[in-house]
Amino acid sequence: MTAGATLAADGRTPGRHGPRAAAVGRTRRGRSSVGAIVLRALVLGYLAVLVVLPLAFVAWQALAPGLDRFVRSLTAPEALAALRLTLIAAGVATVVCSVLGTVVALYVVRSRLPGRRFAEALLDVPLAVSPVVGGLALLALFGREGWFADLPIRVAFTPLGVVVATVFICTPYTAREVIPVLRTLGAEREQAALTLGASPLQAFWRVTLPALKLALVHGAVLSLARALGEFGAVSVISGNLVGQTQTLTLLVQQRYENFDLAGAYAAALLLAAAAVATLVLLLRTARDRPGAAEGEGGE
Amino acid sequence: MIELSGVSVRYGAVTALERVDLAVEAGELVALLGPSGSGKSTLLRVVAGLELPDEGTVAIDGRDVTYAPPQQRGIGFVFQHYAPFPHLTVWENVAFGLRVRRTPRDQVRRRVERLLAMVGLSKFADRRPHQLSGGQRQRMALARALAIEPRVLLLDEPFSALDAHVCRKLRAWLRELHDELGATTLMVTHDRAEAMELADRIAVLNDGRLEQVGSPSELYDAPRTAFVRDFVGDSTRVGELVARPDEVDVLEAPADGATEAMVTRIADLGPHIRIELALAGGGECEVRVPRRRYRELDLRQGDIAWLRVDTPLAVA
Repeated sequence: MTAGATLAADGRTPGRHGPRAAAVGRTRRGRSSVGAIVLRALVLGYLAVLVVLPLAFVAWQALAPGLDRFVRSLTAPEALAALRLTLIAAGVATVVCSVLGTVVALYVVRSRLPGRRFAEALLDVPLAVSPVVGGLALLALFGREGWFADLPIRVAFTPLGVVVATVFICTPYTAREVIPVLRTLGAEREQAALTLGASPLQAFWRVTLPALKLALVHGAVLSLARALGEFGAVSVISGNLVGQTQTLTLLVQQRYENFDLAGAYAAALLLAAAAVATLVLLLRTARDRPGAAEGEGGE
Repeated sequence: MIELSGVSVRYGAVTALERVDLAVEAGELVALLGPSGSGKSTLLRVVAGLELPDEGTVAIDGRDVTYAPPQQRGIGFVFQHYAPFPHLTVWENVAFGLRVRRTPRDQVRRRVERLLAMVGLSKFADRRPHQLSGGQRQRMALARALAIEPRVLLLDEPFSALDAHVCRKLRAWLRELHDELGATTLMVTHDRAEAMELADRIAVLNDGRLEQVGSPSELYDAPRTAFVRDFVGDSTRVGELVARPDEVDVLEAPADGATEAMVTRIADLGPHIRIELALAGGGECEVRVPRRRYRELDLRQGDIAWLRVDTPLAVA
């Protein structure tokens, strides 16, 4: 992703592209040109102001009142409940979306059934639509006057609703990672497996899935990161019941509104830490992901 | 062994194959020859079960397999770009078909080792496909297809992705392998020299239709359509007769049935010399003369010669 790109802009690629590419931004003598220095300063400045500073500020505000206060904020019952719900919802959503995302990707790329392009377009809806609208739609379905209001399991204003809303939000991520990989891979290998006697399921398990491993992991990590930070949809569907349907993001909002700033920043720092941890995971999977050409080794 | 009857394949408005009938005997190597878009790959895939025909039937070893999935046809398929499994080693690639059938481990080991030895890849058993050269990958793909001991072997342009030198070596090797194993083989190629060299019979396809099926000699000496005549070899016209450029007799003196012509151009092609001539009655002609014969004739530009065709091609 971006990390890979900034490494290259540094001018010191690990030799993959050869000496010429490494010379981008450098003068004949090997010293960076003025333009390159200015560009670098701009990029770093942008990152510093918009990313690093706010995070540093949150950390400071969370820890300034004292470590004692910080720990108490995080171990309060409502905080623990929020943390538990957030982790469960994010975890379940990631797993569900990974599985369903793969199924949808297979349907879109490999099957010859109708509606494929429509399905592919639908995948982008959770990304295009405001999460609040998503939450509202779910409420319309499952709420008191909704179509599915009389289901044996209640969805609106329950932890289940939080999970469902998170699944909705995370739906596009795995599918959008897997689809291009499936397309580039082409169906030949799976066909080869079939001619060798494998059933379609065996072909999927032994040939397709291993090739999708990295795309799946990448999609799962993206899903996880998104799920941890979800606010809008969850806020609408959950009713924000403290200790029951309140996620970490909702907790931050509630504490802030109740002027418990230290508590709000503490929870926010926790979220930020989780986000950074997920980002690190993302960087590792992105860098290991060699792109479509790796498996072929050039033909 | 393989019987195709009235096979038609259509993609919307495009007809890929039109009522093709073809019978392949057990143990034969038949080449499907034709230009791009002629439908030869489609035909191969219909036999494999990777495409379903809109009309017609396919039978393998007497059994109707028209709509049977590839797994149930007893075929082995080698793709044009080999379709290796990149996450498996060469050994595991070749063993794939056996593992999928839950063959006992020692039996798998014996067969894989024998096949790797047969294709000369024993030393590469632990490598990954991307560490192999094109020719080696091709041999691995072949070993993989042969591992399941198919009744029918299907090859889709097996040598087209390789450079000429590797190509030639593998061609000879494939013919030997075929003779040794005796598997019924259907091979798609666009290279006529390859088809002529390897096949017992050649089926020439053009625009979805089967033009002619016959041995290389039959197709070369007795083509039944103009397309086959020109696709399988060059041809030249002397008066009303059409013949292969190297089958035209070049004489230094007038003779019965010979046409007078003047040499307009000479090109030294090595093993033979190409001579272009203007015919006395109008028209141009191109003949090929073996080097030794040319030395006897010693023709130069502007010289007169007489051309006689003893073995014309039937199709004019």
